[in-house]
Amino acid sequence: MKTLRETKEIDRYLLGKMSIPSRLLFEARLLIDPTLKLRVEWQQRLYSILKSSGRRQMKSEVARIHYQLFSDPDKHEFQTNVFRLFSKK
Amino acid sequence: MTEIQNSLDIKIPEERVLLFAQLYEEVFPHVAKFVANRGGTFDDAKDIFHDALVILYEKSSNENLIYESPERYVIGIAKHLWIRKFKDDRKKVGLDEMEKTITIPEDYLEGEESRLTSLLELTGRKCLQLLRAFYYDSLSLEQIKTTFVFSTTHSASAQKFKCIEKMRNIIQEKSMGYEDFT
Repeated sequence: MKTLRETKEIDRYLLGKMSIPSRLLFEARLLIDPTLKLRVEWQQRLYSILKSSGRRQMKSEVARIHYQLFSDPDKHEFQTNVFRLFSKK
Repeated sequence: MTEIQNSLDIKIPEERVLLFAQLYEEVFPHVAKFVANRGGTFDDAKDIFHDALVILYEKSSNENLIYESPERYVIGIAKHLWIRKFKDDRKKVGLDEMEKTITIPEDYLEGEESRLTSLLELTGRKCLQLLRAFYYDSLSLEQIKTTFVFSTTHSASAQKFKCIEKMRNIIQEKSMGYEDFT
């Protein structure tokens, strides 16, 4: 359970949700506890991976809409209007 | 431009698809024209527009502005993306007052953590989905409880931290493992 408490603390630290005194205390602990420091780095890395993964997912969602719009025969006018913009030199 | 239905909630997947489809039909031609006039290709316009929708989504969590006129907002983001990606002169692009206030995320055009992201998408799919809902989609605990079928918000929150630890341990193993090769 000690690790859970620590994980929650790291979360609050990384999200900037700590009060100033708690943050200062936490940063002091980071200086003397290399393991804690590494856990903070890994957790930070996890958060940036979540962002990458979320963006990837959202892009594929948009790509599906693109594909539908550009393959739907009912949207012929929309398609030609867009393509025409790029055809003139 | 016709009015986009403002009642659609970008956070709800089914409604988001409708909103994006509407924005596509209404706004993509404007973005395409903007890009074409500056010598860009169809694929440039497509990439910029897709990124603009992703950024619109990310901003929707903390900015209400986008709901007033998502069309103009998307065009504004697209212009900023054009400036950033193709190093075009801001002054030549001509941003209006509203567009000048728009910022795009600093890390957006940087490379992503592709290797580890793919690994976690494969090995920890369920946890990744849950954590993405918390950290990327910024859904409320209540929404997450419903979406992921938890009995209480407390159990959703407990699972979140279990998943953080699980994913963090995988990252730890990987970063330790790769240190040997550097």
